[in-house]
Amino acid sequence: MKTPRLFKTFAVGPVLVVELLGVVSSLADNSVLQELDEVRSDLRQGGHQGLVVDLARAAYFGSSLLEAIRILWNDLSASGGRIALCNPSDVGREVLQIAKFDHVWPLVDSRDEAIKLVTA
Amino acid sequence: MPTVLIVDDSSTDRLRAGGLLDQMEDFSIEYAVDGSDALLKMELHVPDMVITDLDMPELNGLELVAVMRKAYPIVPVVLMTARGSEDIAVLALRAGAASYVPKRLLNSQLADTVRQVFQVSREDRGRIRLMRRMAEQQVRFDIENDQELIMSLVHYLQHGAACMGVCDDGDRVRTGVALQEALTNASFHGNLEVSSSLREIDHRAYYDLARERTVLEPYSQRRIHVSARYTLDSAEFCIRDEGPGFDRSSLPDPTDPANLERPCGRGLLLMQTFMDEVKYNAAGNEVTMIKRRKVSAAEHVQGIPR
Repeated sequence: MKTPRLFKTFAVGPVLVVELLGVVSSLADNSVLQELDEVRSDLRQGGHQGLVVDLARAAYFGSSLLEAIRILWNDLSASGGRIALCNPSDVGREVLQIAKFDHVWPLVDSRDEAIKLVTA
Repeated sequence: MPTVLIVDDSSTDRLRAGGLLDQMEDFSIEYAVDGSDALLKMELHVPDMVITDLDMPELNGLELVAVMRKAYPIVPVVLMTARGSEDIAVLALRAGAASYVPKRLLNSQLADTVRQVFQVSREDRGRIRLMRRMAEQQVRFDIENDQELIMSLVHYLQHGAACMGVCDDGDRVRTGVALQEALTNASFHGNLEVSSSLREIDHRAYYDLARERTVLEPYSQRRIHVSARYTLDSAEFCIRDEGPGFDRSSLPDPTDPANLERPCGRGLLLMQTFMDEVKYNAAGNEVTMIKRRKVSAAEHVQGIPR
């Protein structure tokens, strides 16, 4: 398996944590799509009940990352799982609020809090 | 005479660093016992350089760097690091510190480091002062539907707005997000004519089709035309593609809860929100976005032009 460039994943109990490693400015790059597919595969095969997306290292993002999270959210919802986002930058938080995703994806300030939220 | 502020809770280390600088050049040396004390001193007199310890009880070096990055962005900070503080030093360098000197090597390295940082700082300061005096700048690009070029162009254009003083750090990032969205739309929906409705069904098919079309005529021949005009008060970006145009009213409202799961219209929403003005031509293949400089409260009260 290649070293991830944008999405690093690991399991914490029944939760899959996706740590963003940088700015996702476009999904057009095939290697980015491939990484996203690997996260989807981890999510499916691990039977995870929750997904936490840690945004700490994404200084900013736009609709491309929202789309990637939306795809993961769709997969997770199909199996009844829950999602939470954590550690957004100020602009990242604004982007989520503008797109109204903060209404459906809980947004918290720490990874531990997010994990608690999806396993509660 | 340049002023150097030395910040360290250890009086021995503080005086040692000060003594070394005293020997090398004509500096005025000031001292502070921790980060909070340093900020108090800086309110009275802004130094030309700060040399700080990392591990201090009240406001440590890392926190001091973070505050200075915002309050005194052109004052360079040099760190004095002790054994075991390497990880924090890396964080402080990432946060904007200019350089560092291990405490055990102060005698041999402090003078050279301070000289080098002063040199770079003088050049930076000169460039910033010069850019602040630029009255207008215009640039134009014609680019292919190439994501790497788009990413570089976004960085270039947002940097231009920041250099002219139109944007602070936060607005520079917001401008970058809006530009990225506008250029992505021009490439995918404009020149390559790939529809978001395909992305709703299968996101991979959407990107595969876009990739195929980058080498298929007529799509491959189409360019994105970008012009930017920077003045002291605003940055205006005009982005035109060579596609057939589109009707914005046909897009669903992306903030309607019923549409949250659909991938359409979010880019336009971010552009509208992060820019002060967004307008389209009648054909729908050209967007003009304007970011205006915010007048700070201090400028407003004092009537300072810039």
